[in-house]
Amino acid sequence: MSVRARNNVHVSGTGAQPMLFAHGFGCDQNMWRFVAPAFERSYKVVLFDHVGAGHSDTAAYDQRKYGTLAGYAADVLEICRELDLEEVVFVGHSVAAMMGVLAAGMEPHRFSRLVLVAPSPRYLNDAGYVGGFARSDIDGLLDALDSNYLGWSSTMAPVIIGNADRPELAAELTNSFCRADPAIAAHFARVTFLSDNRADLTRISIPTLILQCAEDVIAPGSVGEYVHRQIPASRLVNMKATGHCPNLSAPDETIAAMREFLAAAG
Amino acid sequence: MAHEPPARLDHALLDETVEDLYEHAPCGYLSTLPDGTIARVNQTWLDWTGQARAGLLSGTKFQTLLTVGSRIYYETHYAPLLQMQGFAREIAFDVVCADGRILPVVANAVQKRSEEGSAVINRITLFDSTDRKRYERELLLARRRAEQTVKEKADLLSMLSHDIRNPLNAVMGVVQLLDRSELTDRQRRHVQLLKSSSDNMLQLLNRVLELSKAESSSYALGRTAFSLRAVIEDIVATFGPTAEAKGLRLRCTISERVPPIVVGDAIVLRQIVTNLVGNAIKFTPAGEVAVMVQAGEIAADAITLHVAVSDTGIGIAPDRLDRIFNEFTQASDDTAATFGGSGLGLAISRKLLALHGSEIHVASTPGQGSTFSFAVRLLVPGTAE
Repeated sequence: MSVRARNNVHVSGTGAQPMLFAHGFGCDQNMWRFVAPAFERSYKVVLFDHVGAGHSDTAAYDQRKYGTLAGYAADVLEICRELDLEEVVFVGHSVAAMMGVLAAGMEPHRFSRLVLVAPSPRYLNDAGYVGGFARSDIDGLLDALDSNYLGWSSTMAPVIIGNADRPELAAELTNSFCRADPAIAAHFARVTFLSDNRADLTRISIPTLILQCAEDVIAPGSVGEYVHRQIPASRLVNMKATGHCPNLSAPDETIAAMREFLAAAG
Repeated sequence: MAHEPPARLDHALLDETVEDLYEHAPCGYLSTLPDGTIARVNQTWLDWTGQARAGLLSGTKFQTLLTVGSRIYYETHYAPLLQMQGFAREIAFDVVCADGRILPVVANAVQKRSEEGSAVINRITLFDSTDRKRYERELLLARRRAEQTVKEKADLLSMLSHDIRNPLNAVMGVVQLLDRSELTDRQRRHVQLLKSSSDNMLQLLNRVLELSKAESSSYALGRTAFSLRAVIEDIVATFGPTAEAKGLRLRCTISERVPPIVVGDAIVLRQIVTNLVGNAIKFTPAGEVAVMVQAGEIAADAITLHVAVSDTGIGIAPDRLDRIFNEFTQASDDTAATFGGSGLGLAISRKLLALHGSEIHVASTPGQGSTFSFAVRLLVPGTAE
């Protein structure tokens, strides 16, 4: 199984410099559908699904490898190597922002810029640090995953229709961009929300853009400021967009902020 | 095709009816701005949650009504789905009611967009899923308990088998020593009986261990280059004397299209084919046993091979066909008495093939014979990554 197939890698665009988009917990590379096309003229746009998400090869899921975000960061580097990507502009949303931080820490020469969309290096509160969540909140999320993946929900639709060989029969009814193997989703949730990558931030010396949303319960404003303080070469942009996914709810604002950063830094 | 309402109908009454249907529907209705700010809500929702209409309509966002776990799910699944595909179906949330009670709901939402494509409003329909959630929990718990029980049983079986094998090896060693000493004919017959019985017992134990190993998720398939032809021919040669002793013809046909070297788990494939050939010889009183390997679909770096083992043996009754792959089940209740064996071979073969993403097929006519076949995809070296 090639890395391309394993991670369902899609390459588009006419530019030479690669811009690699990494999606966060919950959905797949479709998360970039309103943002990525804007960069196709000037960049070589690379999209992929994490193993376990979207159309990745779930058979490649390895509990041990993906037991920490470093496993996902290793995949980012494997994609870079397979596609021979250099001077990469890495754009990571949510937990994938930290995958980029880890990957850039492992192979700094690969990356020229980091764009961290709604990043958080640690979701749990800690002494002197407000991540936003208590351990019990994460159990609540796992419970929500249980209800949505294992319960009588639309992700069950192909099974209910009873024709696993022809999933397209049910595809239109389902939440196709967020389908995932329930066990993998639960594991990914744990790995994401129990991660602590605060120490990795200080290793980043390349120009970094932090896009901080308003009213983001997953990555609150104080966390964005923390990331900004820890990465000296970073620029923090407080967006008008609310929620956790400005790449979907405010693509224009996201694109404009990225363009400005890339122009200024480059 | 619009139908004219009856002339005497009171339009005010009709509007009132529509209003009433909205307010008192058997589900909650919420309309929100794209960012979740509640713009309209029906009475049913207020009754369920104890929330006040005025409070909800003064800037409250739908997502703030959820538990933290549900809120994360909202931000990571529901909101993205709505924006990506324009709808989200059957999303389970836990809502915090005015009195702190948790109300499980299932949400269906549609995002209405302007002609330019920007989101304008979200319409959410919510069902009370208290009962459903309770049933789901019971089902989930039952399933987890069942899985746990199966695992514990497998572990116990494996542990017991190991524990029995050790003293059994000692017994077999002593039998061997006895066999070499001077014995009367009668004693020698007894030692022979001891020997064959303990051999059988060891074989059975080994099979139980193989089975629990194949069942464990940690079983890793090997990936070595080997000659499938050599493996098959070796198996056939090993069974040669047994077949000859029964007066059976043992044939082996391997297609020229089978690559000389393939990459996969040679040990597992050897075990499966050995099981099938051993069974075929065991259950064939006269005639022949044939092993056939054919090349199927060839991809860039892999080939699908079809392996079939046919015999002219006693066959299997149709109503027994789907049960012979179960552990400790044989084709008839007196099979074990007549032919011996544990009935584990097929169960192990099936599990080992499942690890390859393949399955075993059987066609059989009682009194005429059986054919067991499977397809397996193996890598072809050189072109592989």
